[in-house]
Amino acid sequence: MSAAKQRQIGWFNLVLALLGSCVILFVVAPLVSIVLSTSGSDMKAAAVDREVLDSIRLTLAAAFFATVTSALVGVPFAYLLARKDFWGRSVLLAVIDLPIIIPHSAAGIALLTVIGRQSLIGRLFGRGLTGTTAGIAIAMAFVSIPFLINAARDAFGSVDTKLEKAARTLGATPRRVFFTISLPLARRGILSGLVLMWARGISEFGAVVIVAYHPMTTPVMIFQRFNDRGLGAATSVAVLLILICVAIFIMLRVFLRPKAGREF
Amino acid sequence: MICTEDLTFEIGKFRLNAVSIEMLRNEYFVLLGPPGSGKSIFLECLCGLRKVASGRILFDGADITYDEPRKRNIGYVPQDYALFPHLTVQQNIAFGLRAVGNSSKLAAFRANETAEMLGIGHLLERSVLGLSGGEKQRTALARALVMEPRVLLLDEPVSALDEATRQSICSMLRRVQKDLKLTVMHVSHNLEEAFSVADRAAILNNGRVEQTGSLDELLRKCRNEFVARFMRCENIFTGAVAESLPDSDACTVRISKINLAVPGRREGTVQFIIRPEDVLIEVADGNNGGENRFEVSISRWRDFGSHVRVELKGSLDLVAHVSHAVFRKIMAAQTAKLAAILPRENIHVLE
Repeated sequence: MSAAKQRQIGWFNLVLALLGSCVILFVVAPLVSIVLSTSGSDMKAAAVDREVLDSIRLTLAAAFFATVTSALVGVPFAYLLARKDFWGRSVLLAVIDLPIIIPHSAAGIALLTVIGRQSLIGRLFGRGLTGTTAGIAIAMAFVSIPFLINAARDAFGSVDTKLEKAARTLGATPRRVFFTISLPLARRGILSGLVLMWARGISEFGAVVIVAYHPMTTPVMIFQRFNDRGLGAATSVAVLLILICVAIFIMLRVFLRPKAGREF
Repeated sequence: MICTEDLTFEIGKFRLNAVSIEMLRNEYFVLLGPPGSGKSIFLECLCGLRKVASGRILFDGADITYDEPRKRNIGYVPQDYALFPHLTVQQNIAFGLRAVGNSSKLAAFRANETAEMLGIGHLLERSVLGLSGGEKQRTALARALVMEPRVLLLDEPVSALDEATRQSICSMLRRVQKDLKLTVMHVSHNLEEAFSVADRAAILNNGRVEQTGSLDELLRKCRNEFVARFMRCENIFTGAVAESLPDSDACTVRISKINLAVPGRREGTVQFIIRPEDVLIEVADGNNGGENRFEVSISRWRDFGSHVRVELKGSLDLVAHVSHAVFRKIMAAQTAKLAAILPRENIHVLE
């Protein structure tokens, strides 16, 4: 390779690296800045504030509940979408992505018509699910389930159908093929989808604040403190939530990292 | 044993066209054909992975056309083995036994037994990801054999292996088939592979069976030009019948500038073959008489180790495969004048 060509490639790589640095800076700068702008004493105060701790606990639990229940129905549905070609499949794929494009406050209003006091469910049970942990979990699930289903569908799609066919000729029922071949091999993709969904659920504000202002999830509490007490009061809660989320995210990334010598 | 009757299957523009094949008990049957001829699709129809459009699959007379794959007890080794990458060798082999309800202890015991039989007992605890091609092949075979299938279907079982491993796996397949008295269908596009294992074979072309028979029949009694070319017969000639030979069941056919005697009384245009190894060459002695004997010269030759391929030019251009002894004799004569002889009994007229 000529020296001129090598120099050209060197410049190109440099441009790519500079553009990448801009993206990383854009993501990291606000996070680093908010952490640095919070004093230790404020953080300590937030960490022992019962209201804050309760809201963090509620947020994590509601997002977890939303993710697990969505997985029970969403993962088999993703398998169906990955493996079967049926009439209306492309319409279903578009429907699944709807919660991503709908403004989340509008999604919250839409949910009120289904689980609110005046909805059919509300009338049947004498009260709606607004202002309940279940309502929060439903709002979180609504806006974040596309992340799980799309990730799981891609994960199942990447499992070679020959493996499933081979298992069927060895006497396995379709159910056994699903649980012993497809699911274990799609495991990493599905777990990534679960983590994404859970993280998206934790950060949800728009839909949750309309379905349940109380009990207060942490994003709602940050908004409330910002309005009532100003930036300083909101910042320490926000930093606490960010640190907890980043810690959990790092732990999951380590847990999900492929082991050496294993490709799946 | 197992047969298909007018089996038809369509996918996109491809169609398996009324395929009728019968495999006999304990037979090693090779399904030959060029890539894209429908061999793998046919196997998948046999083991129930594809739903046929029409026709029947009969097993000892019982119709299994619409049975689920797990109810057919047909062993299947896919082309790239389809080993389960998240399981060890032992777990792969025992998978089927566990699927049909055997205890893990029994499944492990029988998996070990089968692995020992195929010489992979030392690999049982290994992940399948690090295995060599030959080891993967044996593991896939063990996984199918441990289920004691009634029929074993092998889809291009050695195509991904190097030459030495290919030969050793072919020998092993033949040994296992004989020892276990298995009925095997082996799909391949490779003639050498077929010769090393097959009792009988069929040639599939574009979803249609062109011919079924022993390899000798496929070699020397080709039904049509496709089979002849697939069986690597290079001497395919077409000519008009000149006259019937008196007092014999033969006629002469005019090709180029010569008349050749071919077996059978015929009319019109005929197409016939003679295998390169059936062409005789001798040093021309000035006597150009004799049936199907004409003057030729060598235009090109190449040593293939087992034989020498000689391209001959003359009244009729043709290819001969001769032994090294014959070739040395021809070359030692130091003359360009040779005679080719096409024995009438070795000429086969195509349909």
